[in-house]
Amino acid sequence: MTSTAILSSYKQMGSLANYFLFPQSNKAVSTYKKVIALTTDKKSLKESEKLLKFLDETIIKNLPTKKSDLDVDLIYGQLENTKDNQLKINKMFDTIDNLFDNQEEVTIDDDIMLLFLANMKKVQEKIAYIYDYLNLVLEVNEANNQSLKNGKTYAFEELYELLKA
Amino acid sequence: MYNLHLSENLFDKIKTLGVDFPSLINKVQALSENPIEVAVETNIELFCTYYVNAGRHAILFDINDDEETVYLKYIMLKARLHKILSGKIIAP
Repeated sequence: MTSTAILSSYKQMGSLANYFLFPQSNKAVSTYKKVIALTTDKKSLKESEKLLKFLDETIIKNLPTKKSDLDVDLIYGQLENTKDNQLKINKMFDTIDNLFDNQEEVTIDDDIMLLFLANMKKVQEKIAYIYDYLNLVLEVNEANNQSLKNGKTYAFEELYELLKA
Repeated sequence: MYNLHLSENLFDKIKTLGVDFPSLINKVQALSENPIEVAVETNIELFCTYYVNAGRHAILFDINDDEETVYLKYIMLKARLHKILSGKIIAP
């Protein structure tokens, strides 16, 4: 898969956020005895599984590793898409936290929803990893540029004296 | 003995961090004496060829044997680098 294809397919990932559906949330949320009947459907669970697979097989496996992969504009684009998706995921968890209304030890009374949320937590961690990885690529690239631009060569003794000055 | 090549930014960073983390400067000295002895391969070309742990931090660098020079490139938190290099994404 080419880098452009990766970027293109990654953009499409945003549409998966539409599957973060809570069709019955208005009527099903209950705070009684700290048990929340927060439900979702099998379709959303399936989508969360597809999203995990997509992140592993399309994004993480194809993260840039070689100097020949270094296309700064493309990586900035991937980073922006990652950031957008990170915001969507975080917003979803914020929404759920708000439903809980700051209660502690809340139990969710729906097996499909629990699986869905567990998958989405993994998605959240994978996206955080991708974001950090791409950031490091750009940071090291900038460090390389700085080294070429204003780097100096020292013997250790000379460097040590300057560092201690 | 190898020479050490670094940018102004990295010089400033080592100078600042070196006050609280002297092991950083000790590791820079070790790199000048025998870089291969302390070098660990990153296996990801884009992150430099090698890194070395230095207390809480890690230094990314390349070695040019012909010039007998170590090119110090980047300093970052060790935990972050190890997480990225290991690919251990999901917390246990």
